[in-house]
Amino acid sequence: MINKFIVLLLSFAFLLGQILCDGFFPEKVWENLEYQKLIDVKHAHINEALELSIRNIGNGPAEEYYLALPKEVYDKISMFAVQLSDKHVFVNSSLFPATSDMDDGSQIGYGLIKLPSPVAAGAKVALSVRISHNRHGVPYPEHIAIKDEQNLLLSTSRLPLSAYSTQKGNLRVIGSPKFSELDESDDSSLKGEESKEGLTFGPWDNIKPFETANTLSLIYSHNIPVIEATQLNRDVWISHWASTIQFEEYYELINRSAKLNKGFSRFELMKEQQGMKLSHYCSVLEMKLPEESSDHYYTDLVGMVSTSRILGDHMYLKPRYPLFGGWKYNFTIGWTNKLSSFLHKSKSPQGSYLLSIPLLNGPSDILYDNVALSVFLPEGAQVQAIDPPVPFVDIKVTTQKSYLDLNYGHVKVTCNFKNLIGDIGNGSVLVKYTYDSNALYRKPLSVALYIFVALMSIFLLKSINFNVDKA
Amino acid sequence: MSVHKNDGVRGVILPWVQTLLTVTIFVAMFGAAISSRLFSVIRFESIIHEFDPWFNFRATKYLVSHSFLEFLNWFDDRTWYPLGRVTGGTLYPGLMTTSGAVWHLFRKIGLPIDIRNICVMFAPAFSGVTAWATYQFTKEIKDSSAGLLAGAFMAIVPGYISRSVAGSYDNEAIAITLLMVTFMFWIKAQKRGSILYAALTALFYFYMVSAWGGYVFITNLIPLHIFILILMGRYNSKLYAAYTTWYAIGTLASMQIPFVGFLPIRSNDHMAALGVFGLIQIVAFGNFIKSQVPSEKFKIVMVVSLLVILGVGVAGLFTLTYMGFIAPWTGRFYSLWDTNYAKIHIPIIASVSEHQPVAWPAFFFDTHFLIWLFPAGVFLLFLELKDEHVFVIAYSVLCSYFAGVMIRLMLTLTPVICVAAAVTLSKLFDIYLNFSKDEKKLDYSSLLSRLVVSGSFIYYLYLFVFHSTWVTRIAYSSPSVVLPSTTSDGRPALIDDFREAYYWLRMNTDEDAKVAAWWDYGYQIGGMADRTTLVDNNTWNNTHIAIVGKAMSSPEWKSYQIFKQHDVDYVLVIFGGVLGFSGDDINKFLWMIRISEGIWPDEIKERDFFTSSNEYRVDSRATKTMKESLLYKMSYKDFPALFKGQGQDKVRGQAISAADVEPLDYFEEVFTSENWLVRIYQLRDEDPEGRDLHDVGLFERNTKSARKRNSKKPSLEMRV
Repeated sequence: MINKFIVLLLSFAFLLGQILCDGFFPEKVWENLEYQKLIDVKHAHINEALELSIRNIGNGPAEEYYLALPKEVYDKISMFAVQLSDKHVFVNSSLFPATSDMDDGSQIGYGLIKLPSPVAAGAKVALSVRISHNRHGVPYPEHIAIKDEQNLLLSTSRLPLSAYSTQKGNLRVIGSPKFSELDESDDSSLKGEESKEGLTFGPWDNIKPFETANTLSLIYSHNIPVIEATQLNRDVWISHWASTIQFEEYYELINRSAKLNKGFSRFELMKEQQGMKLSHYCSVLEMKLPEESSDHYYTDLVGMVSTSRILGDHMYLKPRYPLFGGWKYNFTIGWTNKLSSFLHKSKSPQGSYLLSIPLLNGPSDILYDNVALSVFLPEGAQVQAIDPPVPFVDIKVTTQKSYLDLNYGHVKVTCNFKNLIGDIGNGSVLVKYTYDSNALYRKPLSVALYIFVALMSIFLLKSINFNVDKA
Repeated sequence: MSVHKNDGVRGVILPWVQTLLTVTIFVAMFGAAISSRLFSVIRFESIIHEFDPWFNFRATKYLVSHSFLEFLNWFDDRTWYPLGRVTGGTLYPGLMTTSGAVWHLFRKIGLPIDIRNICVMFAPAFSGVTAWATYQFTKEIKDSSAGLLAGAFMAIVPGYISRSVAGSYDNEAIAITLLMVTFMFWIKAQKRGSILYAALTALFYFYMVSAWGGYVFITNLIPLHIFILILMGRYNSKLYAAYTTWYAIGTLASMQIPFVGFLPIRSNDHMAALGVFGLIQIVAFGNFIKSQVPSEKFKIVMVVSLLVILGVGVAGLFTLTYMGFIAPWTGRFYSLWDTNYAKIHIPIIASVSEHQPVAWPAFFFDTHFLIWLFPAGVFLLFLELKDEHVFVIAYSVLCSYFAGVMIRLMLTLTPVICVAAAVTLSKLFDIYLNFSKDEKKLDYSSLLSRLVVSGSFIYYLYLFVFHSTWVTRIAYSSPSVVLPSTTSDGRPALIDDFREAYYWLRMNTDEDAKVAAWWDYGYQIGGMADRTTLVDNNTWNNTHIAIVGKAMSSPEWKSYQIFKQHDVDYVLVIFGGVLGFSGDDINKFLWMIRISEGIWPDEIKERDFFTSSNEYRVDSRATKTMKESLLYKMSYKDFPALFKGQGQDKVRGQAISAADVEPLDYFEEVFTSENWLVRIYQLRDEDPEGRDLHDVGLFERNTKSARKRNSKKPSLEMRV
């Protein structure tokens, strides 16, 4: 009995050890025939496109392909989508929750691609993978003057990084007018060639799995700010009585651009601003609001900020001060829309609603660290289902008291997201809930009841005779 | 029968109509009081105004996020660095606790209103209550028609609005309300001899003590009222009941406020109330004797004993003060009697604009036609001279004097102006608006005179409303944190430099960074930038303020030493030269110099900042001391270059050229707001190679110019 237990314990410890120490390594059942990688550095976030052609070299059919990603990228992934190249069909893909430790100390994470049907041994598949991640380039040099142009430094693996061996691979970098390489190597096969759009590396043949040794340190010109929202709290208030939907967003921003090499001088900025050109500091934010929004406001912790303008569906915000590298700013904006353009009432059953709201309404070229999207449904609503367009961290349903909530408060649905980018803001979050007419009328009735009780008690108190004298 | 029936109907309907009218008038009064104070919210935003309200707001936020006991024991280490301030024990908590209570109450009934909005709307809401209390007060003085007039005046009179617009979250916002409520109950108490009303007077007196330092005015006015009545020989047992009840309960209650503590029995300001309390006991005792013995003998006894008691009392007061048992009068008190006292002895008090003597036009500006109805009202009260009229007369005489000395005391005068003017006007209307048919014949000339008099006064009333609205809109509705302006294409815009710079500090400096600025901006930096300050508007430590003044007026290396000793990270100066903002630091510079000269007369001399022709100049003719001073350098850094070498200072109308402004070596500019109103400098780190920072600056400038020369004629420079 005890022996058995020890064996069990040992085997458990062994398993645990395998997970913790050795990490996870996918089975070598695939081989990359071709591995073409394209990196686009045009935005604050990095877009990567992979064109893969893979072949099953195992003995039996296989359907799971593990896409190796450096840990730094893996931690910051905001979008991961895979298509079958020839059919343009999206394939089931997700981030795999295990990492492998390399000999050189680096870590590798995986994206798991589940092919729609098992691929027979020896058969080939072509995949195109789109990855967006928030691991932006860092300023190089770190400190510059107001008038200087900004360069960013991006470190990435030069050779194809894969869990499987690769027959042929190349790398292209686009998205900036100027590229150069830091510490260029002497090996001519590793050097990049300048093309019309950017740099082209390779092609290389026969690359072994987990080739991490050769990093590419790329310097590129990026003379626009790298804005990161470390926190976005997006609150959406639904009112059935007023038939409105109110948005309120609280942003905590930081500009990740190059810092100023000395203190900020307004004089130099004024000299510089006469050219009206783009630069590494941020003086205006452009928000894309839903159509026909009204009642806009723009405040921060010390009150209203008067420097905003609405032009059509765009709200242009000027922060209190221009945001230079490393400077932070936070603010709140809000607006109101008609509920009818966001809420769909289903025919059956009675009182069932489908709410569809955009995931984000912020500037297009901005990184998000943490996003908390909260939908406040009226008191008494029942949440049926929530469907966000991107993977989420968690979803909570709580209540919160607001104006004249005398019972238990608004129903608050909170979805937390990590590592979002402005590009995926168009996706819609769907919330399905029921809200019957009983709940609709309960609130005004209970408010009326409270007022009635208050008035009656005043009346009764007034009719009591406090006089000490005998009547 | 029909007459009877008619009477019956009238008897039922008339009270209803009257009630309806009264309710309508009160609703209108509240509406007028609140809405006329909302100009600032509508034209700007819901924002806390000026300087002191920012501290009250910060304290209120502390109160609602902590417990009441924590609030009372609050030691604030974010001001007066490195001393800190025992904030809980040195503030009047009435304002904060009231708004905190309102906040909690609203949350209880399902209205979770933001605490800022409660604070902003606090003063307007309470001004409505003030109008009601003034109505009750005047009703006791004359009748309810005078009361309605007084209440209506009080609701919209600019003299009161000046301190109670939305956002003006200051102690006065609640104090004037409490002042009028206390007086109202006092009049009721002394008229009726009612212990209930006297206890209510004491209760509201306590509330007043907890809210405003000006409670001393009540502490002295009520005893003065009693004293005058006793001297007039009008003592009666009603006065005794009212006064002793008020004094006993009120004094004990007021001692519960930590900031007041034992002052009511130890400070000279409160001795009058104690003296009258003793006196009224003796008078009561004398009265009792008088009823027992013949009056001739009593008179002698009375006079002798009174003289003895007065002598002993005054002598005792002097001895106790001399021996230190009783605190002597404070400087602020002396400056009430001698307007030059503060200027000579305590420049810090004189440097506050609201402590200046009032200019005569201000009386008309703040009260319009009430100011000339006011003496007439006092005269009319003299004619009647009931006990309660004595109170109003004493009040008006005292406050007229005080308001002449210190502009902020205009505020306490305003209620009595409203009351007296309402008495005059209602007496006029009593006579001239009386068209009842009791007169025997219809006399056309008298009818005409009635129409003319009442018509012109109704026109005056109309003018008064017009004037009040205008003054409120023009003069009293600016938050002073934001300034109105227009953009180049004519749209209205706001100059928001203060918040821009404060917010920059809040977002982009270390949380425990220390900011040195002149004390005027201390509360705002604490409230908006949330950073530690060296000095603020609670000017309790003159030396500490003088230190900042000295650093601002010293040469750079000396200022650097002073600031380093006080762990300062940032220095903030206000500069209005680009915008034409006259309240900037260069214009306040003389006060900085004077205050620090008071402490270090050897090092700082006001004379050195004036040119030989005794002018205060900032251009090329400015003195060497002036040009070397830190404030000058900080204000004008880059200023001439902005205008291509020669900048015209829009405030002082003098041209500053690039040669006047020496470079800063010990401080680095880290932020300047959009219109250059606020400039923030950081203390440079000490040189890693141990050189003096001035030498470093010199070295860098030399190499720079050398490099420039280098590029022009390299062959010559190479040899050097």
